[in-house]
Amino acid sequence: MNKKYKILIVEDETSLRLVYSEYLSMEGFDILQAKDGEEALALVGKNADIDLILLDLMIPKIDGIKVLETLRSNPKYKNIKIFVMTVLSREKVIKEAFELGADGYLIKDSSMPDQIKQEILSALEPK
Amino acid sequence: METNTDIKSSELLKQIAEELYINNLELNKQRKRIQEVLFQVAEIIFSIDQKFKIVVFNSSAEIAFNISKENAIGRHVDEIINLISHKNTQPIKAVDYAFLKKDEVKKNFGDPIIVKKESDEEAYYKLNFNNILINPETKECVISLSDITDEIELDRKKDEFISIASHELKTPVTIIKTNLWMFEHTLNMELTKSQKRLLWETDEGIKRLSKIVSNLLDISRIEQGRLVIEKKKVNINQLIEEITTSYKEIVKKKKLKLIYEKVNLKEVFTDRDKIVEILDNLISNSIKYTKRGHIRIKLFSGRKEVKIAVSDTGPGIAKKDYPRLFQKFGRGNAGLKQQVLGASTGLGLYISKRMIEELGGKIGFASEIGKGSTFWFTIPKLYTN
Repeated sequence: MNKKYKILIVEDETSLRLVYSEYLSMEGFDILQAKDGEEALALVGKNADIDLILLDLMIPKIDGIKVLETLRSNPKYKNIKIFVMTVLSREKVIKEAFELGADGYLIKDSSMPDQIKQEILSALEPK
Repeated sequence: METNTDIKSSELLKQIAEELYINNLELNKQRKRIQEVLFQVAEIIFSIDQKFKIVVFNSSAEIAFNISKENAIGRHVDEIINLISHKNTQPIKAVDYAFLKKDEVKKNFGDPIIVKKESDEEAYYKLNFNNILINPETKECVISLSDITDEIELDRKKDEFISIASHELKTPVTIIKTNLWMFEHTLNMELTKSQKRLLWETDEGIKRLSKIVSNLLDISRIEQGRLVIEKKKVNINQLIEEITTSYKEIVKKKKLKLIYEKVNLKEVFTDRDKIVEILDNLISNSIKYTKRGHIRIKLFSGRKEVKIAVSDTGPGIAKKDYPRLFQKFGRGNAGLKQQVLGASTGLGLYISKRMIEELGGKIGFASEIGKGSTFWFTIPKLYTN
């Protein structure tokens, strides 16, 4: 890893949010956390230097798709990579997310933290 | 002068006339009865001649399409009856099905043919039609519509329930799985052999639970025709390598060998997730039932299709179990007794078959008791859209 990347984890399940944060911090990432869409947008507003967002799609207040849409409609954030996360695979919503400009997607059930880290790195440090 | 014969004939005539009159009365009574039944049934029934003009129109049809029998009869059926497909809301006209062969129509519109009225998208009807021969020159087509809104609604609720239940189950399963992973990977002490076994078994249990939930969800998607196929370029070699890597640990634990021989193959245009799921089903079945020996994955590249075969040195499958293998909950007998890795849902092969058919491929097997089984499937070779 060439630099300390700043990752925002948007996840309403406390347990998952903490595990992802703990693991990625251990692996040398700078971590921000949000438990709903509103917090997520507020944090992005204050931290324009975020490199990547792990965005759960089923979150309270403002849902993930709406957060994605809001961020992608603002050119200021065009360099932030966004990975959407769902608990189930093959959902139409994944297709929708890609159409809205997501850079990747993770199925939480089958992506363990080390795989998530690999996916993040391959998006931020393409070969 | 009247002769005896004349008297006899006139009496006979009288008798015939009387019988005719009685028969006619009886016929009229019966016709009326049939008409009453036809007109009063809850089903919408109408009939058309070869020019698609309405000849019969019952009360339910009058109510459903808001037109009286008198006004309907004689008019072109497609002017009055406006139906749309429940799937894609495309119009379904009588000219597209009446007097045609049922098999052909079903191919186009599905079986059963489910329609909605253009004016009322809330109600669902099952459309049935029968081509009848009135006499050698005259054909009519009797069309009936049965209201199945309640069934559809019930089905939708069942589906919604499974979907919500699976979602709700998946989240805690994911939490346990991820936390357990974290626990195992950040543990700073040496575990005893039995502690390691406990952890491993917990891990396997969670994986199984997760698989069952996914299977249930797949079944509900398949049954509802909601399976979404998303094709893209897939590197089959790489995909098989990834899957075999995920089985490394369990294969080692069971002292089996998992062998895969690569072949040269261009990327294939197919649904990656589905292929992963099918292969996963076949490999995990092989591992489950094989006590010693090996599981071999072979890739054959034909002119039109790719064939992937998974062979094992397991117990083999009894002939009497063959017909049940690909059925829902159709696991063979050996499987019920032999639960090396715990219970399966008996859904894996059924799901695999339905998925591979959706992708345009085939699935099959060969087996010999005491020697092992080979399950194979094919993927059509498509390189572009």
